[in-house]
Amino acid sequence: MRGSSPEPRAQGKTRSASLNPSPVALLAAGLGFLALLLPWLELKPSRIAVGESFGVWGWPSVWPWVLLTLWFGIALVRGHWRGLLLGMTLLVWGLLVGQGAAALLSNQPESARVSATAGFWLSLLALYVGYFAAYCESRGWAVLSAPLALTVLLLLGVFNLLGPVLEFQSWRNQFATELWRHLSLSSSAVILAIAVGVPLGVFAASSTRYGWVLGAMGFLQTIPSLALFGLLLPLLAGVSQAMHLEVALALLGVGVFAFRWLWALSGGLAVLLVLPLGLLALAIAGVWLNNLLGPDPLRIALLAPLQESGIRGIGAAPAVLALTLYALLPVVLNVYTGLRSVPEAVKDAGRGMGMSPAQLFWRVELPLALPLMLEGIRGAALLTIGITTVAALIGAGGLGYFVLRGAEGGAPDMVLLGAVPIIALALLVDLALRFAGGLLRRRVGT
Amino acid sequence: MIRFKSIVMRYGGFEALKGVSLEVPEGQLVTLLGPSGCGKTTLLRTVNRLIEPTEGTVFIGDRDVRGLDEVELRRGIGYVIQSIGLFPHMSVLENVVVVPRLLGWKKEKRETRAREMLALVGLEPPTFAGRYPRELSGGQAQRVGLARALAADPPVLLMDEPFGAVDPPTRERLQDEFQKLQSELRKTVLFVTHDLDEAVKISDRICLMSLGQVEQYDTPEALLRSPRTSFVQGFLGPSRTLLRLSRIPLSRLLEPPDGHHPSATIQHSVSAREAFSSLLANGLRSLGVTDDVGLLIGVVRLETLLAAASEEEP
Ligand SMILES: Nc1ncnc2c1ncn2[C@@H]1O[C@H](COP(=O)(O)OP(=O)(O)O)[C@@H](O)[C@H]1O
Ligand SMILES: [Mg+2]
Repeated sequence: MRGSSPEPRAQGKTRSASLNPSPVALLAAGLGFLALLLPWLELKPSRIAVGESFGVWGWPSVWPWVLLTLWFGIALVRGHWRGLLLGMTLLVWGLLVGQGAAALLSNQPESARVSATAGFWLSLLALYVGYFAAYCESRGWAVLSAPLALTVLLLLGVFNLLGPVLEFQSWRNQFATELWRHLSLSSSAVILAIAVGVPLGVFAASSTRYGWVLGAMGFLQTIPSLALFGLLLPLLAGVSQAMHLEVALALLGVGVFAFRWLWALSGGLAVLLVLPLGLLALAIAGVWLNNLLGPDPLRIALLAPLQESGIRGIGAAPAVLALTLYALLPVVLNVYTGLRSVPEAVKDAGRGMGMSPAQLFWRVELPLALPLMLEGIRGAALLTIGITTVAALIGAGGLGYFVLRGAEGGAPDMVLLGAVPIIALALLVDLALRFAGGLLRRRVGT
Repeated sequence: MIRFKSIVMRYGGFEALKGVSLEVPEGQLVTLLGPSGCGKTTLLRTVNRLIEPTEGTVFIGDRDVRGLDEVELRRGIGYVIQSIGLFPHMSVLENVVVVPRLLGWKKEKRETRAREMLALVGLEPPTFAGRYPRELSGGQAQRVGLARALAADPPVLLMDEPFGAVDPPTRERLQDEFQKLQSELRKTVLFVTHDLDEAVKISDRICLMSLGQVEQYDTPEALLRSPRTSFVQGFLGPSRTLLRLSRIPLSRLLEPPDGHHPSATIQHSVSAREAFSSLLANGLRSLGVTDDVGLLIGVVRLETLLAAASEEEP
């Protein structure tokens, strides 16, 4: 409606037309060609044995030739056609993989496994790059052809003979649970990071004296995740055995009041004393939030040590706590930057026209900082989805469970069963939040 | 009326204002003029308490501004700044109604008022009401800034180099229009500028400042005729005579037509300065003067202009 004027849009069109052939599409096609030279599938007598590799030209089929032609097409055409061809390429690619796996597995014992190797992954990368090229050129219906092709392939079950899919089938129930855990762990952490990080960012931006907040967040980020778990484990274990839930809650209540009083006395002292309480609050809130959102039941045991309520040295408590601490930096930093980037003149005009500080914040500063804040939340979400993988190490579960088990057992297909959904999840969340950010940006007009 | 009483502003050891006393009469336009850094903005911002002076008192009417709630005070004062400070996430209409909204006006009344204001500053409401600040030219944005400041009909306007950021032709047009507007609205205006031409053109009185002090506070004519200190003389510079001509309406120097057909003509509504430039540009000694419809109503001669420029007023 109130988008950009027609002029720049027309300009954009001529620019993309002069980019024919587009370098990104050329790169995609190049990767596609290269992939055709490499082995695609590996046949192994069992899921952990070493196997033998096969290329696409080995089995008698026209699909490799079709694929070759399609990659040529993608490099040469442009606009909607590229999107459409990409969908077809994806379809042919999937059929080829399915056919190859079936051919390799015929006359093999039950325990035999087919896994994807270099050529498969490289052509997948080529498709991804190609999709990016098509997406840059046209946002119309043609872009939908690739997701559509993928859906068709999944419905046809062409990947059903591949190792990771077989792994999935034997772990189906556990997969659903771990996926759910992964989602609940990461969303709990992101929600808490927003709840804590936005006020912290506002605080940090409110005066140049509070720059140390950003420094502290940056320091947290530099601690390796395993080291952080290692630090939290004994701390939480000790506290959760010794402290009763009602004592913890009472302490937190007292802390809130004491903080205001201490803050007036000495800011540094207040922060030092309240920091451990804050961590305790985060641990409790994290576990409960995670249990509310996830598959594990919520337990609140009053008059009992914290561990009866699920707050322990291992499991969800240290996991959500550590993830929250990591997610804080992107949130705080972007809230800070967003608020700081509101032009001084705009704030001056608002004040000069008689806005109270609260009105200035809610009506001017916050709306203008919102797109950047959302960027921060996107960063935090992506980061968290990635490092939640490590949570499996301390018994909190999540998709990292498969990565860990697969790595221990030398079963690469099982590693993939964990890793591929994590990547897909990150891409999906990224896309959704980018989209939301785009809408917001158009509204705010920055 | 705005009255400053011995305003001192110190930043650490630095005195930005060194005891400024000044009175802006009701309904008049007073400019604070002076080189950059002389304290104009600082003085202006003490009026709506964006700056609290170290010493001294500011009165609006006969009330000490410190006795008023600062938010209420500001809502009653129009405020226009050089960088405009339009809210980028609000449409032109929403920008204009900010103060009426803060004052709790009804939506309908607000929007009617906003449309009136836009029309007043020369922006057709149907075209501009729905636009966003990024879709405006510098001149248009500055008009919106003015409409926004006028929206709640405040008796006092504070303007800090409001036309400083636009190109010279646009600036002159904005000055002309603002002058016309002010002659109807008769607000009490405190106007900051470092542009001598602008100050001479639009002011009822000029307060020339230097290093946090008032050098001379006078009507433009008096300032140009008799600079009181050497700083003032230096600031006005050699074009002082020419500037005096710009305060004299051409109609005052008109002589009846002398029968000759003039080789060039000029509109009667311009200033004597423009007539003088036209004479120089055309290499003539006299010009025909026409009325609004182009009828010859008299002539103006070079001698008259020169005499007017050097004349001591009685
Ligand atoms: N917040 C501040 N801290 C220190 N010095 C300031 C501050 N604001 C203004 N000044 C100084 O006060 C003097 C007057 O500033 P200002 O009123 O903005 O000048 P003008 O508007 O006439 O250009 C300048 O020398 C400026 O450096
Ligand atoms: Mg200034």
